[in-house]
Amino acid sequence: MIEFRNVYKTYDNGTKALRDLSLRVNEGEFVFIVGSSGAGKSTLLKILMREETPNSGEVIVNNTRLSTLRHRDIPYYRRTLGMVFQDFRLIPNMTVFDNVAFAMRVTGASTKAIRKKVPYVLAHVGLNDKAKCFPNELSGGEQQRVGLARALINNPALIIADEPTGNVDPRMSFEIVDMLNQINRNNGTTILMVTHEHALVRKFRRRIIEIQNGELVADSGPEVDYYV
Amino acid sequence: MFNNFKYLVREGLRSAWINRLMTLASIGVLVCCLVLMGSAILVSLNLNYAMEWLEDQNVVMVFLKDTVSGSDASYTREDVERMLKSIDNVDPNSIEFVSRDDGFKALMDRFDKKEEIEEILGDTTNILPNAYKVSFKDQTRYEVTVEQLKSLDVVYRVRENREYAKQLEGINKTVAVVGVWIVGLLLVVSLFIITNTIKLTMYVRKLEITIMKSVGATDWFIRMPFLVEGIVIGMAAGLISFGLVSYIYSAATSAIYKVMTTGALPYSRIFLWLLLSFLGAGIVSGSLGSFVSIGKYLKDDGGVIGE
Repeated sequence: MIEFRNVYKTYDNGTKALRDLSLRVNEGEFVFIVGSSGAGKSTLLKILMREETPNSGEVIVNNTRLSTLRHRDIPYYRRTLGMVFQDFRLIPNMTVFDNVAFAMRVTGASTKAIRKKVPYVLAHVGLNDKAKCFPNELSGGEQQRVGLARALINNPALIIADEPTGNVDPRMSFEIVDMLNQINRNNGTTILMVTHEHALVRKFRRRIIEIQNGELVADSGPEVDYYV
Repeated sequence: MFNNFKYLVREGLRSAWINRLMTLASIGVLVCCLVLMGSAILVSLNLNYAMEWLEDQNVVMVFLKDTVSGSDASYTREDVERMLKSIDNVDPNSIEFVSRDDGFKALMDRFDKKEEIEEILGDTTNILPNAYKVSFKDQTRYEVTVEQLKSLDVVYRVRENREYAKQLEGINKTVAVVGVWIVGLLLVVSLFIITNTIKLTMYVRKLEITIMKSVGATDWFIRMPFLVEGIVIGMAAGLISFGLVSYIYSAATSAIYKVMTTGALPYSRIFLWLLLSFLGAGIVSGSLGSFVSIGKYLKDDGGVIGE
C-alpha cells in the first residue's frame, strides 16, 4: 500500500527533513505516526500527497511510483486519498452539505450522484441533521466530522489524517479516532494518522511509527492490534 | 461535465460579485483602454476612407486668375474653355463653370454660423475666384495633365484632391503611431489591474484552492472560475466601450458631414465589426489577465499540508 525506500529529503535552506527513511504500510492497516515537532512528519505527509518529491529514494503508494508521477496526473492520484486536517479546512461560506459535495464536484460527479451520496456519508458520521448548517455553527468535533465525511466521500483506499484531534476537546478526540478506527475495521480503508496525543495512541493500540530528526526510530510492527 | 461547467461559471460570477469594487475598477480601466483604442482605429479607418474617396474623385478644380470675366477681363469664358479643351486628357464634356458666387454659396452652406463669418469678412463678401471643374479621360496621366493645366496663362491654381490625400496620409501615420503607443501603454495598465483583481480573488479563495487541490481538483477546475471572472470583466468592458464609441462616433460623423465633403464611414457598415472587436478584445484581455495571475499561483503556491 505505502512503501518508503531509503528516502532522503533536504530542503533548499539546508534542513534535512528525512534521512534514509524506509517503511512499509500494508493495505487495511491503521498506523499512528508520532514524533516531536520538526521530526519530519509533515515532510512525510507532503511526500505522500505529492507536494514534495524526495531527493533520493523511492515512494510507492497504491502501486503508483510517486517520483515518476507527471504533474497533470497528480490530481487523479490525490483522488485516491482522503485528507483530514488539524484545522478542518472547511469553506466558511458553504453549508456542511456543500463542503462535502465539493470534494465530489471536483471529480466531475453528477448532481444526482452528489444528492444521493452526501446524505449517506453525513449520516455515517452522525451529521445528517446538520447538513444545512454553516461551519461556524458547529463545534470543533462536529467540524472535524464534516472533514472526515469529505475525506470519505470519494471512497479512498487511504485516509491521511494530519493531527485530526489537535483542535478538538478530549472527549471528541476519542470519538474522531474511534470513527477512523471503525472506518478502518468496517471498510478496510488504510489509515495514516499523525498525532501528538500519546493517550489516544495508547488507548487504541494500533501500529505506531515514531520519527525523530527525519529518521525512523521505532516501529511497533505491521501487526494490527499489536498491544492486545 | 455540464454540471461542472454550470457550477464553475456560477462560481466565477459569484466571485466577480463578491469583489465588485475591484471588478468595477478593472472594467473602468479596460473601458478607457478600449475606447481609446477603438477611437484611434476608427479615426485611422476614416482617414483611409477619405483618402480613397478623394483619390476616386475624378474632379479637379481649376481656379482662374482675375483676368477672366473680371472688370479688366482680357479673356472670355469661351477663350478659357477652348484652352482647357486643348489639353487632350481633359474630358471636354466634363468642363463646368463654377462662378465665384456659386462657389462661395456652396462653401458657406457647410457652416452653421454663416452670419458670423459674413460679419468677419465685411465688405469683401467673396474671396473666391471663378473656377472650372474638369475631369480627366485617363487617370494614369493625372500628374502630367495637372502640370499642363497649371501652365495655362489663365490659371491661378489647381486644387487637386491627391494633394489632400497625401496630407491625410501624413495625419493617418501620426495617428497610427501615437495610437499604438497609447493603446500599448493602456493595455499593460489594464492587464496589471485585471491581474491584481484576480490575485485578490485568489487570496480570498486561498483556502478553497488548497482544499480543491487536496481532493484532487485539476488545474483546469481551479482555473475555470477565475477565467470566468476575467471573461465577465472583459465582456462588460467590451460592451460598455462599444456603447460609448458608438455614441461618440455618431456624434462625430454628423459633425464631419457638415465640414467635409468626403463624409465618414457609415455606422451601419462598421456596427458588427465594432461590436465583435470590442467583445473580442475585452474577452482576450480579461482571460489573459486571469491566466497570467493564476498560472503562477498554481505553479508556485497552494500548499496542501501545513508546516
